[in-house]
Amino acid sequence: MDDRTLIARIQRGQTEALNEVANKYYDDIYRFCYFLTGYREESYDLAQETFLKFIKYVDHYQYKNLKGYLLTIARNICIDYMRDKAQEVSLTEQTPNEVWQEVSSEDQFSKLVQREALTTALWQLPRMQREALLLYYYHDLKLREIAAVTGTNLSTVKSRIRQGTDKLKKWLKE
Amino acid sequence: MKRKKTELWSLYGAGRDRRFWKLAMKNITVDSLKKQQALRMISQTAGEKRIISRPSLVHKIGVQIRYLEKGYFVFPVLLMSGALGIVNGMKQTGVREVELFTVLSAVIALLGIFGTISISRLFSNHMGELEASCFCSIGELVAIRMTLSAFINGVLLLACSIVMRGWIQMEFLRILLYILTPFLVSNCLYYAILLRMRDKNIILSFGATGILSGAVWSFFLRNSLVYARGAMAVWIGMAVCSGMILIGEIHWLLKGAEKGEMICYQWN
Amino acid sequence: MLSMELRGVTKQYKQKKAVDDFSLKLEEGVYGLLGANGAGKTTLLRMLCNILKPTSGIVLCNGMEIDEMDGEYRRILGYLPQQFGYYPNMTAERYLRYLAELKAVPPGLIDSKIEELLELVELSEMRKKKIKTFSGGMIRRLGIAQAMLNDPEILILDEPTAGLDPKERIRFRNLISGFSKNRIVLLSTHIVSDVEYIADRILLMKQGKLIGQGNLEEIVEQVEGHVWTCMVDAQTAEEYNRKYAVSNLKNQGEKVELRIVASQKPVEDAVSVEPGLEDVYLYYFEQETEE
Repeated sequence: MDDRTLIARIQRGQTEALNEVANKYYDDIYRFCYFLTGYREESYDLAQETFLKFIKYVDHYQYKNLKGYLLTIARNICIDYMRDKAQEVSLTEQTPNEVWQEVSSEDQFSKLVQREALTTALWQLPRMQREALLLYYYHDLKLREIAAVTGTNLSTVKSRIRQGTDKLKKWLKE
Repeated sequence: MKRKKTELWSLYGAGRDRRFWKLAMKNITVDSLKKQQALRMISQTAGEKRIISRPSLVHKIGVQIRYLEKGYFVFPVLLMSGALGIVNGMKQTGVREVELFTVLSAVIALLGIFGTISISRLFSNHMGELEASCFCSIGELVAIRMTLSAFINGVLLLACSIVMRGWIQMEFLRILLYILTPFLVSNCLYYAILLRMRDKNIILSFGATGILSGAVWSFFLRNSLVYARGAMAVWIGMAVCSGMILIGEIHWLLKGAEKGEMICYQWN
Repeated sequence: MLSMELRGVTKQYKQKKAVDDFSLKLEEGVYGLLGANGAGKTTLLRMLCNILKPTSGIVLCNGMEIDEMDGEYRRILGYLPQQFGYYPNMTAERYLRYLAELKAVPPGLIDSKIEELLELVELSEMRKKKIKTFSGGMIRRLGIAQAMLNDPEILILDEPTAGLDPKERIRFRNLISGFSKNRIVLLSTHIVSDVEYIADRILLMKQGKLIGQGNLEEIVEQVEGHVWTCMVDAQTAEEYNRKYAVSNLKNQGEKVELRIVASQKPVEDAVSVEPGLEDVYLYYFEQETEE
């Protein structure tokens, strides 16, 4: 079911459609929270918090881009969380360790290595650039949608994506 | 096994392949147990969620149109069509223009009845008190019904003026004035009844007033002097005065509806 | 926590005060408002429903003035007026649908809500019938159904059991008891047994004023020592019936057992007994009923 129909159903009173939204976007929101904060375990709660907040304000929501809206909520929750934690995700310390899994076949290995390389490289980037690249490449948001989610303007978003991409390029070419 | 660095950029075209990103992200596994726990919590909150509906003005108008008896829309059209039919017939027999307006005025005096009855229905059968306790304010309901009847009557009066313009040699605005004035004056009477009377007698009162009003108009308008250019000031004066009285009555009606006493004690 | 508060609410009409400096706090539960006819109960309920504005004083819901809350307050309100309104030529279903729209029930819920409520008040079979064909009891049940359409947090019922037979009255009591969790239910009545069985707290209203409030025990305690029984002959019984406030009269063969409510012992051989709510009603409102 498309997002517009889901929201229409919810606002007409069929609250079971809220579960469908959660099922559809939980993984994406979880990964976003994880990449923003670097906290694997806490990100489950942060993702949950995102949907709870969405439910709370769903009466007022005017359908535009549901995924973008959820990502905005998630972002705000993550920023509040990090502020409370009073620490920024550092460049190298929080590299997730599942990147270093052992694999058996060459084929799987090379794919895994390639994927690993990207996710490892991502952690090297400053949070804002990491966030912009994720929203652009992984979450398929348009530039103006990213600007809306991050509360910035179009030129800032372009600049972050460009700088982030350049850094990734440099890192992955080594 | 050692990590092998590869030139990803060359393989995947400047790293812009979104498929690759999606594959890369799948690397970040989501613990299904923790996910289920979170989804359960979300489901519980979703179950307790009470959706608040905010019907738009358009929706509220639609509701009133749907639940209003169709007669309130149909009868004015039939009445006006009937009047124009009669006028057309009279025109064929070569009567004076004055006589045509006399008949029209008598019928137009009745036109406002349907709108005012539709408003009085909001308070009939003790419904006013119940409606006043609902989310949509009773003042809103009155205003919506008033607007609907004003729209229908407005369209009919305009159509009538256009048709008459095609039949007689007279300026359009002058025709409109001769048609609008009896409507405004008789509506003043109907709204006065609405503000003063109790429900049981209201339909009879409207009917009696309408017929009397129509009779009076036809009596006074038989004289062609009434339609002379010199008398225009009187017509304009009557239209403006009755218009202002009507605005005052509407204001009083809306205020009364909001205040509650009229609903509970007068119209109940 | 849902709460309502009335602060010094007064409604003045020319020379008379229909409601006089009424102050009260309401929380979740069932409240029974007891008072004779003309005590001002209906006027009070109308002010609680934001239909009438008080001459002075304010009504608050969760700390906010209901007048300012306007539609948002009425959104969580369900009301059954004493003179219940309906369009006779509408079917039950159409009538409920119309009110559901006025009450801003979410469109996706209207059908299921109507279904559920018609079943609850046992009018499912009458859904397509015109209301003018309904009996008095059916109309009252329809009224209760419409009051619950928007799943109200505050339910105000003015003489809800008027016209209901004993079986229907019991059904109604069970309905209200089930509904009252996490809600404020205020029912105004002069039928003492309604209040006795379902009200958590009882409010006594006389000539526009709140003269007492409390649970059943607290209220009944107030007339402790003012209720008596005695056995007299039929002629004396008739005489006492005129002279005193008699809450019960039972024929026991040749004698009549009278239950009298009086500040002092009415006759020599009268015995003081445990009071009930009927006695309380008579004690406070006996003069009004006489009038």
